[in-house]
Amino acid sequence: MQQAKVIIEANTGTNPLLAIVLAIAIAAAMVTVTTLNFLNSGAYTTVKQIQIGIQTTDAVNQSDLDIISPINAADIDKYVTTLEQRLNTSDNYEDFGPEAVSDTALGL
Amino acid sequence: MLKRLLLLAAVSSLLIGACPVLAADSDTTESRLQQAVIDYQLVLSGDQRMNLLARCPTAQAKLVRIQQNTNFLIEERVSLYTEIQQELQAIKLRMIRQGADASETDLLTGKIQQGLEDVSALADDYKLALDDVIGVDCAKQPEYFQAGLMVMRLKRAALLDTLTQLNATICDDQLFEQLKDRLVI
Repeated sequence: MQQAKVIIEANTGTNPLLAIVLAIAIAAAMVTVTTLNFLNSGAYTTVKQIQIGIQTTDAVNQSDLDIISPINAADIDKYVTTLEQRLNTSDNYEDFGPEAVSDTALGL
Repeated sequence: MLKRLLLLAAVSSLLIGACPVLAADSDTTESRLQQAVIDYQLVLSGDQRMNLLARCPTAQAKLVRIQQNTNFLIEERVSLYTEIQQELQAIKLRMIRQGADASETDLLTGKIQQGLEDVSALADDYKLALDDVIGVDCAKQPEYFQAGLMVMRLKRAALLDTLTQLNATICDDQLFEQLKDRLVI
């Protein structure tokens, strides 16, 4: 091994161990960069969204929601009414409207 | 040997430089606000500067309260939309048991998911803009505060717009009418 190292050094002027260490360091740096890039990319977001979608279906099966009893048009009507009420409970305009951050509101 | 090391360093820096996402994430409050000042071509008069210097701390304190409330408000909505998705899935399963086609529920669930993603992304942008405007040193850089305020208002408006659209999508009567038709037949 030592003899081979000497021969390589003699022929190329390069220390093979140094070359290997450098190659490993560069590979590690590239893996790190790629991983960070993926974690910050839209692809990772999409993967998380798909997971959420799967969890949604699983959650329905595991939740207390009724998934068995017969359903009719009146049930849908009733659901739509409660849906609108629940959505209106949170006032988007009050919570995210421009008034709260206007110059007047901020005292500017 | 030194030449080779320099070459390796150059190649490595090229590889890292080719990652635009990472480069974007290295943005700082300073650079974002500086860019906003340029984008809005913001120039403050002497009076405006004095006014901001005097009133900025109060405004930032009020913005901190808004910031503290924002996480709760966003989580509340995300939780509600997720619940609705689950309820739609439950309706679908009940309809399927009766042999009725409930594919519209999948469509609405998908639309809600898309809306949720948009809301999450816009909420992150809005929170970042709030962080910027709260964190800026008004005494040193009143222009940055003013520019940050303008950016934050835009992000907030975009978030409101998306939430309003999502609610309108969920309350789409036509879709539920189709479901009812399927159940009547």
